[in-house]
Amino acid sequence: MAELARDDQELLRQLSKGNEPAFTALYERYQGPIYRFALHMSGNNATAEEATQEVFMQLINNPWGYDAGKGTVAGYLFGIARNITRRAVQDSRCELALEEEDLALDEFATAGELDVLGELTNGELLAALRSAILCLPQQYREAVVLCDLEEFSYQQAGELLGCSPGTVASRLHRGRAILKKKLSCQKKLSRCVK
Amino acid sequence: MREIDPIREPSEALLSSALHRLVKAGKRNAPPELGANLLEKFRHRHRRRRQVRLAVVGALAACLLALAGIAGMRHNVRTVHQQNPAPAAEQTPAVDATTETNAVSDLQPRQRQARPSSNTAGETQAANDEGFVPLPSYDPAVASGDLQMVRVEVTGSELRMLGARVVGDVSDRPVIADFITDRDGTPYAVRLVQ
Repeated sequence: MAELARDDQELLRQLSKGNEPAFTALYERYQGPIYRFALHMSGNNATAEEATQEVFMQLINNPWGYDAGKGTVAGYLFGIARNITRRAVQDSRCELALEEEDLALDEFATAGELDVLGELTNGELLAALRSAILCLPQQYREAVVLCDLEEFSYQQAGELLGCSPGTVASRLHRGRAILKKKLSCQKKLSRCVK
Repeated sequence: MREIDPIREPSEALLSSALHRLVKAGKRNAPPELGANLLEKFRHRHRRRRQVRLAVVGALAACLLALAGIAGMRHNVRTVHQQNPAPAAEQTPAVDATTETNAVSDLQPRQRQARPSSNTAGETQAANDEGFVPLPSYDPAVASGDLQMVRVEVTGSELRMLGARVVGDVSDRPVIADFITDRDGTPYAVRLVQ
């Protein structure tokens, strides 16, 4: 990780001098994770593309904006993507149907309630999951997207989000609990429809 | 990330499995055209940056050359001034400097140094000590071959009669002087010896 961070800094230094291979290397390394992060956070392809473009435009126009003392290059890039995504979804995001207070009473869905996942087709399952993830509160959604979907470690996710690994673990736990609750609600809903 | 035990935590295992399927289905990257577009913007920006830098360097080089040129010109002017002292200094002697130069050049090189610079008695005396001072009877047309030098003892009043500027009360005092005369005895220049 430290090696990668140093490499990123070197690439960024080269990029600021106009080195095209350095830009290509940095783009190839981060365009996928940033695009998917923005896509999972917003649920919108256009927003994901816009976020990816803005992140790299920031690198092109102001490569000196990164401060090595404040974190890694990856954290800097994800920070930009987070801000852009947050702004984009602020007006359009669906409100959390399930309040956290409700979760305190019935935090965990049972395995039986989640059996619905086996009953759904692959397409239905993915749609249900995406929908449930999009309705998570921002901080929990970030933890689920980075740790469960992008498969970052708590340490890496903590660096990207600017918090400790323990906080990431806590947010992830909470986010997954909300996800299960939402999916079990969805199961009840689908049975009612049937 | 912590390992999930499917027996103890069946709901966690089901959720993880569902999320994993979402990851497999959603391994998407940013559109290739976005990368190409960003690369083009990167090239454009750095092309422009290089042009601006070239222009700045060119302008600085031009400024430096201009400054060097001005400094060189000033140096040349100063050198010329040092080689040819101010004409004003030459116009101040008691005797006309042009005439003196012409007269003395025909006599001996040493006499070129005689350059009285003021009308005071002391300075005139100093000038006389250094060389010949032309007299009003000096004729520049006379060839140098026709000149001769004679050393005579005269009084201050006699010198004054010959046209030499004698300052102070030396009318009756005898002085030894060298005279440059024509063949017929016309004095052209005088130099006080004692």
